[in-house]
Amino acid sequence: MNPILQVKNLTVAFDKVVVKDVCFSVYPGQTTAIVGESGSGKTVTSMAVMGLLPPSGRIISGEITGVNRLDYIKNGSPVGTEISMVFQDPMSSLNPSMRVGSQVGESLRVHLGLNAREATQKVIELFTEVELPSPRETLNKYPHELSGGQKQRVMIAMALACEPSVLVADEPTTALDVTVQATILNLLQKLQKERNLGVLFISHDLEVVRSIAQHVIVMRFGEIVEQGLCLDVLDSPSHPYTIELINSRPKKICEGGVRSHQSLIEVKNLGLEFTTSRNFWGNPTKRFKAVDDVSFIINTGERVGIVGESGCGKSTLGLLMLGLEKPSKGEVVWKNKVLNVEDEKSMKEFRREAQPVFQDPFSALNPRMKIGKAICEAIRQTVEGKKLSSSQQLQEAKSLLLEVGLQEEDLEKFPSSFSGGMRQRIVLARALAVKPIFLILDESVAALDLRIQSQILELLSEIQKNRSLAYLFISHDLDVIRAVCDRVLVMKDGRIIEEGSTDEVFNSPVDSYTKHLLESRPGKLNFAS
Amino acid sequence: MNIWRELISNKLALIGGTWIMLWVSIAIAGPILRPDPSENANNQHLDLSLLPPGTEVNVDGESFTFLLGSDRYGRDFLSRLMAGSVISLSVAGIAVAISLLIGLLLGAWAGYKGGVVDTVVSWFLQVVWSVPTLLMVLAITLAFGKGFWQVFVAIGLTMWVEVARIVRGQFISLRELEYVKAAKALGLSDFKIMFKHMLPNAMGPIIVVAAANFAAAILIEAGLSFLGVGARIPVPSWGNIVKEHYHLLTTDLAWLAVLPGALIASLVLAFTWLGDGFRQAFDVAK
Amino acid sequence: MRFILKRLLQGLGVLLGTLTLVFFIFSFVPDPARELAGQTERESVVQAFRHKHGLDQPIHSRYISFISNAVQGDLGSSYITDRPVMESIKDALPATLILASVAMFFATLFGIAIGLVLALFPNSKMGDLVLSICALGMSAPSFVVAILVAWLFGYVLHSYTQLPMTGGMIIVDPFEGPRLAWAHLILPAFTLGIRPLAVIIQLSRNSAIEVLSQPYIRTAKAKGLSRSRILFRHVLRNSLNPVLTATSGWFASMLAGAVFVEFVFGWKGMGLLMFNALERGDLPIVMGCTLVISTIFVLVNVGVDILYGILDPRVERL
Repeated sequence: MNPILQVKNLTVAFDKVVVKDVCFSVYPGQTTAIVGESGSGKTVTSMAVMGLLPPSGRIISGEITGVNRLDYIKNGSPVGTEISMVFQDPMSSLNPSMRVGSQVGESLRVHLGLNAREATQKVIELFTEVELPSPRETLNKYPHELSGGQKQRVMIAMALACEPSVLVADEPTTALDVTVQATILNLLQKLQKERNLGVLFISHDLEVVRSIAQHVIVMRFGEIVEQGLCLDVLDSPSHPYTIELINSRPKKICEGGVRSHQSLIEVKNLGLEFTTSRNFWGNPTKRFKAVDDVSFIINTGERVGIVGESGCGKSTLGLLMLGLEKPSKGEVVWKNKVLNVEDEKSMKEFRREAQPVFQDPFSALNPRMKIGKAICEAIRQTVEGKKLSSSQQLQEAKSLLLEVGLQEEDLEKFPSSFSGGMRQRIVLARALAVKPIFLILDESVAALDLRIQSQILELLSEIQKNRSLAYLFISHDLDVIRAVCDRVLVMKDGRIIEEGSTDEVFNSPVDSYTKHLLESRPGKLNFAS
Repeated sequence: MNIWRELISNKLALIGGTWIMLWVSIAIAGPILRPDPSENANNQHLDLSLLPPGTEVNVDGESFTFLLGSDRYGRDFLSRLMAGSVISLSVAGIAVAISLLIGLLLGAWAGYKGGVVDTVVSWFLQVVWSVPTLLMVLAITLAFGKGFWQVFVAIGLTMWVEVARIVRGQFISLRELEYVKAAKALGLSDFKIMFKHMLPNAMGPIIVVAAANFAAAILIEAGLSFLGVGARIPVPSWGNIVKEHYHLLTTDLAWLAVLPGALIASLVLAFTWLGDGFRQAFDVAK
Repeated sequence: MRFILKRLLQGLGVLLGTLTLVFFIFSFVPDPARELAGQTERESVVQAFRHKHGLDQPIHSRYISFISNAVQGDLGSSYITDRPVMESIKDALPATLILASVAMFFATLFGIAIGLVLALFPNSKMGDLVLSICALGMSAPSFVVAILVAWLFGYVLHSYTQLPMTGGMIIVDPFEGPRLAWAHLILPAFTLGIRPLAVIIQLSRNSAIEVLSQPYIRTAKAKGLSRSRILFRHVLRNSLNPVLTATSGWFASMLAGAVFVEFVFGWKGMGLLMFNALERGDLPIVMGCTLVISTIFVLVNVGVDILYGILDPRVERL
């Protein structure tokens, strides 16, 4: 079969070379996937193919040829007609002040010379094809009125408007919920078959790649480490890096620490409401229940997970439990005593024993504070810590850093000199500085590459065991929850819809939503091909 | 401290900073540097008015050179200009200090607390904001009498709004950051969180707005003096020097009005460049 | 509808606050009765003056009558001529409004256009030059600029421009009566517009550069659209918001800043009215002018906000 897009010896440089000597082909009706971690050069490669490199980047050498032997670099670019693109983040990739219908119609009018009426007709057809609900009404909507999945459908319609032969998809489902991801991938496959599209698919997720690609390229540091037929590479990888990547999916970490049946924290009928719409007189007409009547207990030393999709209220629940948000109803009971946010003395004690670790390693540390200072500040929050001299505090901070796998000299550094994974270790050390007995881990590994993720999860389990901590792990990622939790709560629309031991819930879910969630996992995707 | 390095490598900021330092030294040195060391450089010789630069005259038996000529009251123009810088710079300095003090406290409080506090402070900001600065200063100087200190206070009392708006905005976005939430969860006091964790990270925009306020204060003071509300005669201010001479525009002596005007502009420009330099340095540091 | 009403109510709240603030600042002004009534006058005259202008009332009743009168459009009467303040303002306001509107209109138009062009070439020599000129235009005090413009175009280049150095909008011809002199508008409007022009150029440039880095511009490029189409269809509209905010924010301070321009050019507007009142200690007029300008400011801002709500689909309409 003749390739529809051929990239030969592509080298791209910004200040330094970021993509080196990359060769691959895309075939009609088939998918070529580029996988790699952040910084591997996969996105730059796709930008170079689209001719969308920013001014600071340039193609040093290489050849990109497309249909009819068109040289992409030399000739007038066929971008938008022969080759088009779907981006990662549909929220910001659509013009916020333009109706989606005209955004899609624009390509048709510019490239195919259709008039307004013809373009509208065609857009409705496209919207029907990408399975948008009520295509005619959607025409006149603005991007912010659509859900994430719907926006990505609009993006796909836009990319396919001029019937290109190659589609470049850069992490098209990464920003979406797992159930939406499954439907979008399904749609892409269907359209590919109907239109005999060649797809260049950029992803970090090996499971997604396995389910849709025929060819795969593994990239690291701008170079190809391994490439070949998808199943060959993923089932019998030859390069050690590929093997490491494949093995980095979260694995079950079986044993937790010592557990007891003593209730540590109890949530009773907790709820938080926002008013989303008011009538003419300012009386609320619509309320949004971010957290709706949630109750559960976590025992000393227990590892509990909450899983749910974005907007289900899981993070808000975490903030409520930490006393950082005030509930509109219900209460949190800590060690059999009702927590009162107004009572500063008891809150102070509570804060020493319950600590959070948040999602974003880049905003979790004060950029203007040295690591040592940040940790010592936390140490001083404890009763014993206050009595320590500053050198003793530093000693304590040092042992904390060693515990999370960092070095003594890191005490004197600012957060900017650490990578995401290392920062998350520092955040953990700061949380441990007050000697807590309970952690709330809110998507604590979601922003990290898979390999780093599994390292952090292992560290966490070790610490949990050594210190007999209890924790609540909040995540959208079922595999992560499965790996490090004994018990799991499934949350949807602010409510807990299923609760049980991890094995029970994962092996024999009761609720239909839980079943749907489990079936949508990339590893489970099964396309009839 | 790579902010300073960035700042020094910025040519315009360096020029601006040097120019400001030069005038600050002139203002501080005061009579020591001035050819006419009398208070306010106010040695009037009406018979010697409007002489061209470099004229040598004999005053009370002593020879004196008008390096930049003499003004309409026969005073040494150079000395008047040098003495005039005192008003511009001190008004700017004190007004900016007042505006920073009020603006920081109110802005930080509103931005950090949110809720009712924020609503009330924002309303007050809008109210003060909707009286144009110049009119506000006029009103305050009228209320407390015309004069030196009144102008300082009046300008400071109007410019804090700008600072408060910036600080409030910064604090609102910082409040959502995870390290602030983490600090709250550690049980740190509000005071510590606001001034140890949030303020240092809001410093960039605050310095930029402070530089802009310096520039604005110099402009307002000059304008007030031009209108006769600011510095009172015979205290020299670049604004009232322009006023004293602008009727000479259609003569060869137009530069007597143009030069002080240009000095005002140059000092304002210097602060603008310095502020831009800070902004860029902070951007790079990020 | 609710959104508009809410915004109007907020505006009203701010307006009430502004009235109060202005009243209280001016209530600190020392009692001018003795001075204005003349040193030699008898005590009874001074008392009569006090009574006439309500200065003998306790502060809270003065406040209440001030607010209720202001709401009805009564801003008291001049200490000196006894003419109602509102009438003097009615005479002077149109001239200033025309001056400021013309200046603002051209400043916005050219400012956005120039800023947009500069955004396309963010690191060019030409762009740097324009930005430096902008910085200069923002640094020069308006009375200095006014003097320079009057001198340069009205005096040095008078034979080319045929423009007068000074003059109001209405000329009273001894034979034909009053007529409008549009030519007199050019120099003052130009002077008044320089600073907003400089600000708007910078703002719209920065805003457009910010928009150009947004992912949806990348999408537009990936659609294969031409540069000009991307600029006019995708960049322009999204970069307008901060510019419009600034423009509305500037309008009132222009009304106030017009004082210098009116003073130098002899343009008979609010600025000159206020300046003369200031010289004579005619408090009610200064206060009235302050109030009217602040009111216009609030109204313009509320108007622009409502306009946003209609133009920008993203604005929360709670």
